[in-house]
Amino acid sequence: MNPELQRNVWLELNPTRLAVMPLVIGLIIMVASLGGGMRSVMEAAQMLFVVIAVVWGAFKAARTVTDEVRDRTWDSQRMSGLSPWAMTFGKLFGATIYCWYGGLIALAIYAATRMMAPAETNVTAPLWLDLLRLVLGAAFAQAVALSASLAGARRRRGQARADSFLFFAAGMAAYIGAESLHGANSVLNSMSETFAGEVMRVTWWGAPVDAAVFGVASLAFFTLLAALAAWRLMRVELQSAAQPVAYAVLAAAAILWFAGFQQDGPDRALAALVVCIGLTWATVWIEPKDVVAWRALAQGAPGAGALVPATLTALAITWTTAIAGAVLVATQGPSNELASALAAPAFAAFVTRDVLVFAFFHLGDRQKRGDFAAVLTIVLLYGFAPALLSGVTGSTLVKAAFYTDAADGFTANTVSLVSALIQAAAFGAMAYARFRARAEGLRLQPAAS
Amino acid sequence: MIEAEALVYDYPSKRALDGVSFTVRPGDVLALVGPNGAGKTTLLRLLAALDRPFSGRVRVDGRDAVLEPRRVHERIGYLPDFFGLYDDLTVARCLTYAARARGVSAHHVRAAVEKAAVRVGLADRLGARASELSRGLRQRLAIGQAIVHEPSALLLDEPAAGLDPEARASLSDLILALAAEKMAIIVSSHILAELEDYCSAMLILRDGKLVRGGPIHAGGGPGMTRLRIGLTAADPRLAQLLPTMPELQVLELGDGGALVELRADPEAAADLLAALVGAGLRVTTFAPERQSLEQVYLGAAREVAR
Repeated sequence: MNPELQRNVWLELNPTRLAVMPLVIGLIIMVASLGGGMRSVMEAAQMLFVVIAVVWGAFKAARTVTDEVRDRTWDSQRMSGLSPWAMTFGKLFGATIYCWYGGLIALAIYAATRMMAPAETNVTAPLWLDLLRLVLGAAFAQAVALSASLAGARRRRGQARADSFLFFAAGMAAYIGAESLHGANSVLNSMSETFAGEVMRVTWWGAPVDAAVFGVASLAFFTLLAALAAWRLMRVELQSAAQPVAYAVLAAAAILWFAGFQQDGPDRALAALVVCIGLTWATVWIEPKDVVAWRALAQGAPGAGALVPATLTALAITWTTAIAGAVLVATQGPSNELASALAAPAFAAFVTRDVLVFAFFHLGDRQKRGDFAAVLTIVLLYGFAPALLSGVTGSTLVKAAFYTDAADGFTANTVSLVSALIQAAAFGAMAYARFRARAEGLRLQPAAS
Repeated sequence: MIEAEALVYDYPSKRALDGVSFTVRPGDVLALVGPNGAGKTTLLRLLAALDRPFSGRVRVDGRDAVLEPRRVHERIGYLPDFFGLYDDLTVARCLTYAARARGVSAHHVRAAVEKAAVRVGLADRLGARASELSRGLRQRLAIGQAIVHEPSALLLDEPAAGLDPEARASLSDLILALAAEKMAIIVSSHILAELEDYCSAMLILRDGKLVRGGPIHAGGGPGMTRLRIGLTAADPRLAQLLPTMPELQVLELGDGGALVELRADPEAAADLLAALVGAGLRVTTFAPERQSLEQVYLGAAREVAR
């Protein structure tokens, strides 16, 4: 057995706990059955699954790394010979194994009630699809919580315990998002068409697909991506060579899913750009801003490939997508879409500026406040500055210098692109000056003085 | 064998280690000493391939800690200053998990666990939970976990902190036993007395740099020995004779005696004694002299102050 899974089994599954779980579930189901028929039992079982496997499971997954950091066992785990995948799997299913034990008991009751009294329980979705949706929803929430926990441990090592709730919240937010893919009021159904007498179908990459099946397949896809993200973060922690390829694969997968809902090339490219921008921002938040690693990278230290920040890869993909989008919009879109074509690189340039704002503040003396100062600056640049300058000058073009609106026309989007590039260059130059000054200061400074 | 070469480690606004180089051979027990904040823990973490140096190299058994950190992990055992244990697991399970996680094959786990338990003196407590152990025994379990995969190098960060005298004595015995098995060991501490029993040399870290540039041997440099020579009365011939002796360094010279360093070879000592007697000097003392680590440390500290 996977040693990490084995360790968790030792810790989580003892005879007392194994006996208590079915007793508690049985008691709750019995109470539910007194208040109503099979439908009440089914609903109680489903609710129990959500509480035990999703909520408790995400909580356990969120704490699995932070507890190791707090209990000072994380370094010895980082020195282990387990592969990153074995460690990820061992933690993901090991830390939550008791939750799965209880969840699967609840799920069995849910399935049994549906099979025994289909008319009374009155659920239209096929049982297998429903069970898959529930299981994948729990696995997704847990995988996201574990990924968030690993990302948090990298950023704020040693203080991570206090952040456990945030990682848990990330898992729950992911679950709620995943749930929005299912049911009569789901996001997918709002995009679906009902063909006479048939099931709801959503058009994805030009093909009509059963919305319910597509929802569960999408959930499986995103669960896999979340597990891949956890694996990628674990690779970094275990010091397996972490190449930027993993991020590119994750980004490509996300682009593939989102762009599939658009009907033509230009729209797909712009949807891909929106995904890329979102992912770039995510890397800015997730990755530690390790100034020393940047210096080692700049000096081409041995093994520096592992130090390439995912944000750089994200920016490269964003720019590639933006330029591809601009070309597609300019060549395949309606003839008046040249303005929109310019908007794509303008969006990318503004994101580049934002990344450089973060770099500039993290290279300052008060590095711990870098995120706060950067966010404040970005808010001022997107919100306060255009409002103030538009009011003072009375020009509608001024706001284009601070953010892009694809519908604003050729001149405005040209102003956006040029302004964003100038701002990015300015913050880049200031960040570089700080980078040089800091490196020079360390070179001249006596050690540890 | 552990080799560190021109190690530099930076924090964002301060240089923590600056050009640290040294070698620890199999069977050596090296003390790593220095004031708080000198960079001892940082250095150990670099040697354990848990953090990467800004520049310089660490090699353990020839494996590069930056390029092959996971291969270094296979060869090294590390006990951090504040270590954790899985309190709800038994000693046997703690050791079993450590063995499996550190790559011991399933067939050999049982033997590895038993051997580690015997080495650290916990063979009779395999069924006890980690939470039930005393501080000294927890320390032993943590060391057991660090050596269960038979590493060739062991790094111990403040291993005796908080231990009672009996537990410290047991720890000394354990470290000497591991060194006798040709393990290269580095022990970090700022309590010199506890290192005296088992360390053959020491590295003094101060402000991220090594004092005197490398290991300092309390009884002389590597392969060297120090001898104290005493005469019945002051004799100027001693000062004339000693500088003429080959492969001998005069460390102190007074009218009535001297402290010299020469090859750790009985023949060399015998030649020196014969020369002294042959020159008509009336020798009353001719004995190896080993400074305490504390004396060496304070001497080095005085050098730095000057």
